[in-house]
Amino acid sequence: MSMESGASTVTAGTGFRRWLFGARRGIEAYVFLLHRLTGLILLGFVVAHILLGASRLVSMSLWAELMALTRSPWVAGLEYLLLFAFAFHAFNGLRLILVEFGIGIGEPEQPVYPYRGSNLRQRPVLIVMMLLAALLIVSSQFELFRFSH
Amino acid sequence: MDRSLLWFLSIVAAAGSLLLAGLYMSWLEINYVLLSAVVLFHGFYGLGTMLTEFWPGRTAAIVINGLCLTLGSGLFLLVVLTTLRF
Amino acid sequence: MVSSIEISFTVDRDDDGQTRRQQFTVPVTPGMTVLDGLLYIQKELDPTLAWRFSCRMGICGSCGMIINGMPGLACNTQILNISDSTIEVEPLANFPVIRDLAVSLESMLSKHRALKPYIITEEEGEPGVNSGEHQQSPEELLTFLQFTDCIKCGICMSACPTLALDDNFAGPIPLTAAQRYNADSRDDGFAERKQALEQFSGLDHCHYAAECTRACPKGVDPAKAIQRLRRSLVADALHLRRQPATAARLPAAQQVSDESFPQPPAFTVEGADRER
Repeated sequence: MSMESGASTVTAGTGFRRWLFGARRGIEAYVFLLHRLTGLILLGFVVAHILLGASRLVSMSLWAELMALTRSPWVAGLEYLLLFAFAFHAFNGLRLILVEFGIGIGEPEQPVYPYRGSNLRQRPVLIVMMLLAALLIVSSQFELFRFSH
Repeated sequence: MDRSLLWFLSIVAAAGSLLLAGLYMSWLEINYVLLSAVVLFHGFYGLGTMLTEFWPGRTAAIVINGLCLTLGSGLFLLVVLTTLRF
Repeated sequence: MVSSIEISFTVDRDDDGQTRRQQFTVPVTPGMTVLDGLLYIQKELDPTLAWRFSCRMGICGSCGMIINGMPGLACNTQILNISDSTIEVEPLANFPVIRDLAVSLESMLSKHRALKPYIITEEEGEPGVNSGEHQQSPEELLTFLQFTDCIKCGICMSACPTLALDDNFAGPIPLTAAQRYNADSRDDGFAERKQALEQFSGLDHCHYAAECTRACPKGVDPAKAIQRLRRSLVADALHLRRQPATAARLPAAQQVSDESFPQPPAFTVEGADRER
C-alpha cells in the first residue's frame, strides 16, 4: 500500500495542538471536527434565537431594537453560514446515527491485506450524505422550496 | 443514569430535532416548545460531551454537566414563557 | 544494479524531558524499511538512539512510532513508499516518552487489564479440568476473530483524537479487547466488563473519527469493534439485549479432582502479583 510522499510539517506536542494539527488525518476525522464546529454554530444560533424571542418578555421596544439589528447585511452572511452548518450537521448526523449503531460499516470478517476497514466501507454513506446536504443548500435558493411560514 | 442510555436519548433527540425541523420547514404546524426541547437537549448534551473531553475528570464532569443542565433548562424555560406570553 | 539515494531522517530525541530534533543522512535502497534506517543510524551515526523493536516482521507490535505524521510500524513501512527526501520520526502520541522514540505503554496496558481481557465463565475451579472443549461454530468464531488479530502496538491509541484530549477514555485497544471477549460465545462476562467500563469516560466519547481503523497495521478495525460494543451497551441499557447462548461444552474425557491438578510454580520475579 503506497502512501503519499513528501515531507510533512508535523508538530510535536500533546493536547489541543496535537488534536488539531498533529497528524495527516483521514477524511472522517476532519468531518468529525467539522461536525463539532457546526454543532457549536447551531447551538450559538439557537441560544441567540431564544434570547431574541425572549426579549419580548422584557419590552417590545427592546425586541424591536434587536430585530432591527438582524436586518443588517452581515446577518445575511451569518444566515448562509447557518444554512451550510445545518445542512452539514444534519446529514452527517444521520450518517453518524447509522454508523455508530454499526450499520453500514460491515460485519466482522477475516481481514485480508489490503485491509478494507469500516472507514472505507462507510465512505459511500458519507458521500451520499454530503450530496444530500449540497442538494439541500442548492434547493434552498429556489423559491419553490422556501418554507411557507 | 446509564451513560449509554443518555447517549441514546441524545441521538433520539437529534433525530427528533431533524424530523421536527424538517416538518417545520413544510406547511405543517409544529409545536415550537417540543422542537426547542429536543434541540436544546441534543445541543447541550453535545456541548457537555465536548467540554468533558477537553477537561476530563470527575469534578470537571460534574461542573460542566451541571452548567449545561442549568443553561439548557433555563433556555427551555424562556421558550415556554415566551410561548405562553405571546 | 540497485542505486541508493540519501535521505534525511529527522528524529525526535528526548532525554530527561528535553525534546530536540536531530537530523541524519541515511543511504536508502529500495525495500529498506524505517526500522532499517533507524538501525543504520544506531550502527553508523549515533549509537545513543533509543527505540523498541523485536520481530522486524510486523507481528510483535514493538516498533510503533509516528512516521511523517502517520502512526505505523517502523518494520512494516518502506521508506521509499513514504518519501524520497525526508522521513520524520516521532514517538507515539498520547503516551509519555521514556527516551527518544520509546514510550511508556503502561496506561494502555492497565486500561486493557481493567476491562478483563479473558474468558469469564461461571465454571468453578480451573477451567477445562472437569469439562471438555467448548463447541463453537465458524460463524460464531467470525463474530470476534478479526478483533483477536490485535498486536497491542499502541498505534491506534496514538491515532485516536479523543485520547489526545481525554486521558480517561479507555481507547481503541482495551475497547476492542472488551468487544472481542463479549462477542465470544464461550464468554459470560458482559456484565462484569460493563461494570469495569464505568471507571473510564463513556463510549459516547468515541465519535467515529475512525483514525484507529485507518492506522491499524493488522486490519483489526477497532472502530467497528467499538461501535458494536456501543450497540450492545445501549441495547443492554434499554433491556433489549438478547443474551447470546454460551457455547455448549463437551463432557470431560476424564474426571480430575482439583487436588490432583498441578499448581502453578512460584513467581521468580520478586514483587510480581497476579492480581495487580
